[in-house]
This record gives sequence, C-alpha cells and structure tokens, in this order.
Amino acid sequence: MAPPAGQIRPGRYLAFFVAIVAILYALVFFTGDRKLTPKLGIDLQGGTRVALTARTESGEPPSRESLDISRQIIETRVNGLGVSGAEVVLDGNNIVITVPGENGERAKELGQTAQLRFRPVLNAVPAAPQPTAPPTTTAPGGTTTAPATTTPEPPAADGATTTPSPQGRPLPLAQQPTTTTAPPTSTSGTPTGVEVCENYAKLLADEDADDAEVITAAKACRQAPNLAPSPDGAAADPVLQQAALATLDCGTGVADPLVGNDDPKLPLAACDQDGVEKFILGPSFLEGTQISDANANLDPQGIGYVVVLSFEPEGSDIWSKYTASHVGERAAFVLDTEVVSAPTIEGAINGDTTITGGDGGFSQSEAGKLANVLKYGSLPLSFESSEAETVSATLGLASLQAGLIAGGIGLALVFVYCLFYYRLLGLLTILSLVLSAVIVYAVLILLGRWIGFTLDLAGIAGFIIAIGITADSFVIFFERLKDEVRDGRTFRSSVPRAWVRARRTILSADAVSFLAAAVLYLLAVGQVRGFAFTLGMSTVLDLIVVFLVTHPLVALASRSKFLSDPRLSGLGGAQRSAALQRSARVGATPAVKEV
Amino acid sequence: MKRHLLEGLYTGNGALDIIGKRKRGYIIFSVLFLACIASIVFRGFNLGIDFEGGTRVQFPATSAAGPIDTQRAEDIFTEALGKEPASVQTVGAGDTATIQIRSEALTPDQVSKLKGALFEQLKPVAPNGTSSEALISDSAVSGSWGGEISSKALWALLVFLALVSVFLALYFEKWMAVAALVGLFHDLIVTAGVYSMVGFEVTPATVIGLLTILGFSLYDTVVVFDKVKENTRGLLGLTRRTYGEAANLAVNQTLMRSINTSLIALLPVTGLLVIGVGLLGVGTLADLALVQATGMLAGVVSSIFLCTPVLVDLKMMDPKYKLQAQRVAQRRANIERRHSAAAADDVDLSDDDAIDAEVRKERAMVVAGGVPARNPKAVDQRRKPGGKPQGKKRK
Repeated sequence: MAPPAGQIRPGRYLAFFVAIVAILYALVFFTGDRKLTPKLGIDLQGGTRVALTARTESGEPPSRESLDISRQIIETRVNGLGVSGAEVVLDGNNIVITVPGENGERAKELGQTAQLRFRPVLNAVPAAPQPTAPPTTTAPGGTTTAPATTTPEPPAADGATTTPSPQGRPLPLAQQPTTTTAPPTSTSGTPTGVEVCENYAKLLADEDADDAEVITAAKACRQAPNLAPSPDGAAADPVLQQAALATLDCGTGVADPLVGNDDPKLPLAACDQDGVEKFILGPSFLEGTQISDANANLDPQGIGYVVVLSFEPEGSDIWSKYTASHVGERAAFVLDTEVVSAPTIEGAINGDTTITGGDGGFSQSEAGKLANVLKYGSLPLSFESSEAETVSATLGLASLQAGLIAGGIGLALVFVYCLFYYRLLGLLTILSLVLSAVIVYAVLILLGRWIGFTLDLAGIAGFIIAIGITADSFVIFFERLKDEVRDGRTFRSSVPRAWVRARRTILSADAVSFLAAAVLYLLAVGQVRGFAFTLGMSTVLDLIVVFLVTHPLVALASRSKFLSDPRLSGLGGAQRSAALQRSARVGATPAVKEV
Repeated sequence: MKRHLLEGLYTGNGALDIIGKRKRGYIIFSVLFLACIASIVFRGFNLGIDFEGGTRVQFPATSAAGPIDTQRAEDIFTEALGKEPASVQTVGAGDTATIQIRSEALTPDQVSKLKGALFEQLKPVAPNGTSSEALISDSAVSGSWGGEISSKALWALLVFLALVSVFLALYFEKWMAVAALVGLFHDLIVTAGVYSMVGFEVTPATVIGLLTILGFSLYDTVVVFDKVKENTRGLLGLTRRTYGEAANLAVNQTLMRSINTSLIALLPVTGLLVIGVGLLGVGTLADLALVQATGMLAGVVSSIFLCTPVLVDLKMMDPKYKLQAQRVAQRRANIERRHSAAAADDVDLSDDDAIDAEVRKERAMVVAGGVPARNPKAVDQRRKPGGKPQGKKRK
C-alpha cells in the first residue's frame, strides 16, 4: 500500500508486477502440458456438448450422491464410445458431457436411462477367469418365502459371494442350464455362425476397428436367432452358443458394443454384472418400462432386505402368466446387455414380486441398488437432455475469430478514445490494458490446466465487457487527478493525493462488480458460469494492474519534467480552469467551489 | 455558451443543476417506467428457442455450386422428416454466412437423418474448401432448459440484491443503499422493457447479460455516491451549502467520469454487437452485447439523473438536514441583506466578524473531516469591501 499522500517507490511496485508475470509465465512454460493455448469450449473448437438435467419425481433437488453416481456411470459410457478428450462434469443439477471433435454424436444418447428387459435364461456357464464362480448362482433364499417370491442371485458381488456358500446352490438351478445345454444332439451346427463369432472376436481385439462394424458383428454373433430354440420348434444351436459365449469377456471395465443396441426380439449372449457368469438368454418377454415401482424393504420373514417389485397392469399380466408357465426356470433382469439378477421362479406370481437375497438376504445397500436399477435403469436419477449441440469445427473457428475480432476492435476503440482524451495518461491506460491482457492470458492457460476451466463464447464476451470495467479504474484515477490539478496543484503533487482518494472508490466499485460475478458463478448454470468467471477474474486482475502498474507509472511520469508537460498529460484544460478561477477570484469570488 | 458547457463538463464545476430539476426528472422516469411495465405485462417477451424448446441446424451457406437457397434447404427438411421447419434463414455475412434452420424439438435420430439428407443434397463447403457432414452443426434445447437458466438467474439476482444491500448499507449508509437499489431496479425494468417494446429475442444469454448489468449499474452509482459522501462530510456543522447542492456538485464532478466510463464500456460492447451481428448473424455474442448496451445506457442515466435525486429526497426527510438547509437559507438571506446594506452604507463590521468566525469554523470542520481547504485565499477575498455578491448563482 502506498503511504497516504506520501511519495511512493514506483520501482518496487513495477518490480513486483514483473515478478508476478515472470512466475505466471514460468508456470505456463514449465509445468503441465506446456501448451500455449487456453482450453477452448466446444462452441469455439467444435465438438458435441450435451447437458443432462436430473429430474426427480418429487421435484426436489437430487442428492449429491446420486448425481455423483450418475456422473460416474455416464463417464464410463462416454469412455465406452472410444473418443478422446471427452469430459463429464457436474454443473449444479446437470451433468455436462463434452466431446471435442467430430465423433461425439452418440454422446447425445448417453443420458438415456439404460434399457431394462426380462429375458428367460437358456444357458448359464461360469465366466472363465473365475473358477469359484458357481457360488454366486442363486441360493434360494428363505424357503419360507411367500408363493409370490422369486429367489434371486444376489446382484452385488462382495456381500453376495460370501453369503451363498456352495450349500445354498440348489439342484434345479444347476440343472436348468444343463438341461438346456443338454439338447446339443441337434447337429445342425452352422459353421457360418461360428465364423461370424470368430470374426467378431477378431474385431474386438482390433483397437482400430470401426464402431459400427463391431456392433454389426456383435449382433450377428451374440444375437444370432438360432442361439435360442425358434418358435416353430427348431432347437438352439449349442455350437453357436458356445462360440458366442466364448467371445464374451466378462472382466470389469470392458465396454460392451451392444449396449443400447441390442434387439429385444432376438436372443442374447451376455455377462452378468459381476463378471462371474455368462448367459445365453432368450428373446425379451417383458420390458423394464412395465415396472411401476421397486423398493428395498426389510424382509418381514427373515433377516436382511428384500426388493419388492410392482408392475404396470399390462406387465403384471404378462409376468404372472410367464411365471406360472416357467416355474423352476430362471428369469434374467437384463440391463444394457448385462444381467443384473437372474432369480429362479418358484411359483406363479400375481401382484407384487419379492426378490430375496439368499441366506442372510441383501444388505441394505445391495437391496437399494437393485431397487434403483430396476426402477431407473442403471442411473440412480432420470435425466432429460436439456441442451445438446454439435458445433462443426468451422463454425467454432468462425465464432472464435469473431470473438477475437470483436475484442480487438473494442480494445482499439478504447485506445483511440483514451489517447484522444487523456493523451499521455491514455498511453499509460493502453499499456496497463495490454499488461492486463498479458496476465489474463497466462491465468486462463493455468486455470485450464488446474481446474479444467474452458473458455467459451460467453467467456470471451465476459472479457470484452470487462475491458470497460478495467479501463474505468484508470478513468476514476485520472479524473481525480484532474480534480486535484484543477484545484491548483501541480501534476506531481496531485498524484499521491488523487491516488489515495481514487483507491477507495476503485476498491468499492470493484467489490460490487466482483460480488455480482461471484454470486452469478455460484448460483447460475451453464454458460452463465463461464461468463461470470471471466468477469470476476478480470475484476481481480484489474486491481492488480491498477495498483502495481498504473499508479506507479503515473507517479513516474509526474516526476519527469518532459512527461508532465500539460500538452502531453492532457491536464492542460484542468490547469487552465484552475488558472481561470484564480484570476476570477481577484475580481470576484468563485461561484461554487469546494472548500 | 457551448464552449462554456463543455468546459463545465470537463472541469465539473457544478454547471448542471440536476438536483434542482429533479421533479421533472422524476416525471420522465415515472412515464418511462410505467411504459416499460405496461409493455412487459401486456406485450410480453419474444422468447427464443431456448425457452420453448426446439432444434437448430446450421451449416455454411455456400456449396461448390454457389450459394445455397434457403427454399431448397426447407424442401429438404420437409422431405426428410415429413414436417415443416419453423424458419429457414441465412445469417451472417461473407465467408462465415450460414443457413440456419429452426424447428420443433427433433430426436437425435431425426437430427442425424436430417443432417445426412442436407449433406447429400446440398454439399455445403466450408470457407477453407472442405466439405463433409461434420460441417453441419446442430443444437437442441429442451423447453425447460431456458426456464431453468432463468429461474437460477432470478435466484442469483435475489441473493445478489440482498448481499449488495448489506454491502452498500455498511459502506455508505442506509439511504444511499436504498437509492442505489432504486437505480438498479430502474435499470432492470427499463432494459427488460426495451426488449419487450422492440421485440428483441430473449435468450438465456440475454438473461445472463441482464444480470451483469447489475454489477455495472451499481459500479457507476458507487462512484457517484462516493463523491457525494466526500462532499457532504461534516456538512451538518456548516451553512455553506445544503445536502442537495453538495450532491449536485458531486454529480457534476463525476459527470465526465460517468460519461467517459460509459463510453469506454460501450465501445467494446459496440464492437461485440457489430461483429456478433455482422459476422456471425445471431448468437450468444450479439445477444449479450445488445442487452449490455441497453443496460449500460440505462445504468449511466439512472446513476446520474435518478439515484442521486432520490438520495437527496430521502436525506431531506431527516429533520437534521432540513434544519441545516434552513440555516443555509438564513445565512444566505443574511449575506444578501448585508450586501444590500453594504451597497448603501459601510461594511457591517460585526457581521463581518461573524462571517470570519464562520469561515474559521468551516475550515476547522473540513480539516477535521480530512479534506484540506484548497483555496485559503478565499478568506482574504471576503474581507474586501465592496465584493460582488457571492453564492448567487445557485439558490
């Protein structure tokens, strides 16, 4: 801080500023990815941007936790697209997906709650890498369960795998698959089908394979009609079944190309969610949309939790008919081509269905998770695509150029005006604005690296508008200076006095401006935030520049005989006015003058 | 005369009587205000795609075979999707001109079908000569999105108003905070009113821009009030001028700054507006710039012609300031009497002594208030017999 009304040492302030600039640019050049451009938003570089808004039934804001889970799930889906540089971030109650470049179109469908379907289990084998897989297959929970009960396989790995120890694995289950696998007698093995699967496996291994090609191959192999017995009685093809199962890699983190692309009318070869079992599933007999509600409740008859499922009338009808005719068989709840749960049907079910969790039941969190999956698909919240845009690289570039040209024109106009009105001081204004831009640029790059700040079109507009606010700090200072000169002081003696008084005004005015930006940033969504951020940032940087550069430079200029010449400083008018008033006082007292 | 006015503006010596003519100002502001409210209520706003929901598809307006006809684009749309687009227009100019199709909300499938058809049949070419389907941009917005942005923005507005009231009340004083908020309110209503009257399209970017006017409007008011505060320090102990006169002087002293600031702030915004409309056609830049330009003008006008007069009226409700104003009037009457007496007779010595005492007191107050006296010679001048009447210029 300058000592009030005293002389300051401009050199120190300037040196401090130079140090700041040096540090910022050292960080820019020697840390992070060392790229010299700020991170640009989708609207400036081209790409796809999707904003998904969470909708809750009650209209209340969704919990932070469920938003986080959704974000993670969507992130895995985005990664499954195989595009580089994609980002998924939370913005208030919104999840924003940005995919730079040209291949982001599919990101628009990622927010859809995944498809839940009911398919009969035709064949189940343990997934290869897990020799201890069988335990996860269903343990028929409380045998005491009401007739209206399906016994499930526990969906969550950890708790479930430990509880249903081998003893819990009943015969009907183990038999069920075997019986279906048993009729391998039919020797109508089509080698073409197997070849298709080999082809698919090859494509899967090939990282450069075209997405669309992989999907077609996956469909041909894993959804081949003869995986299941056809309605006209032809038996399933066991060789093909084996081949299809062989292509499945049930390890975690493996993206399934069929996600969102499976045909419900065809059979499907799929993994279960925990990667412990592989299934051959029949065509879907019931869609998840028919589920009206699913809740995790305490098991009234046993320990732990159960999941209670209600259907819409139509679904309820189908479900009760199906369960009545398929007692002892397994039905799979398939979510996005993954089997979430495949309980054995213990009897015809009318009305609500209870899914029990084997010995010891589900834990609360397992039951809650399953209930949510059944209700919402895999996302704990339902999302609506509130904004989806694809910007071509050309349009992005055009916007960027337009923004820069607008900024350039704006700056140039301000320069001309300042030069015209303030002359030498105008020159200092220009210098200060340029230096301000120098820091802003460095800070932009660094913020892009540190907090992922992206500069979008609204942000550029924020900067352009901030030029006005930055320049205004100088105007306040210079007008004060003029006040002092008008009162008859010399340029030199006016500077410290004007500064002390202008400083107060600048600080309070910037405080208001910053407050507006901060409130906007914290409370608003979408583009508003980018705008508020740049506005607030320039306000802070404006303070740095006016304190460390403008004031010291003016002080320096005021000490130089040459520079403080009224013709250069643009203060001639004020001096003349002061002289005029002095001379007027000889003959007359001034009209109204400050004391 | 003109020279005089400019000189007065430049040096800010109180040439414009803004406070004295405030009644007239209030009438003008009231009429404007009511017109804006009426327009907002009865005419409403021209809400953009973001508020109603819809899809916008945009692509370069030139193909290898020359400019693309909007009618052709419309036909392709109808052919591909079996329905009419809401509008098809060419926006922007030169290389960056684009054709923009707006329609009701389309599903992602429909969008990709449309893009395929548009590319197949029109083959738009980018300024750099490339041609691919990726040149076609699209943007889909759900009907609730604009609403959400706006409702969030309104919340931000309320919180900001609460915080800024506290800030102003602490930094200045109660009545200044009230007067500043009156000005802010005026700026918001007038900007919204202008949008409603002219029928500019309202987009979320407009709402954002409107919010940032808040900062600017208050910023300007803060600067004027800072000067008012400075000029009226220790005023109650003096009889030199009334609160209104001190405030008027402050407005005049900061007038050039207000004008400069507004010009300097408006220049870049103008650049933004010209470029936004000229090069890109419509869009975020143009929306933001337009609302900012409107709001900045309203902000400057209100901080000069509305906030300070309102502040003076609020202040004058305080009996202390009323009394002080009476004392000022009394003192002026005394001086007047003394001068007429002096013209007829010799100087009334006792009165002169009284004035000397007054001047000393005044100087002491000013020194105590931290604003040093700037023209000590004035004291000597007043001693001169036969001095011309003083302080007559203002009443």
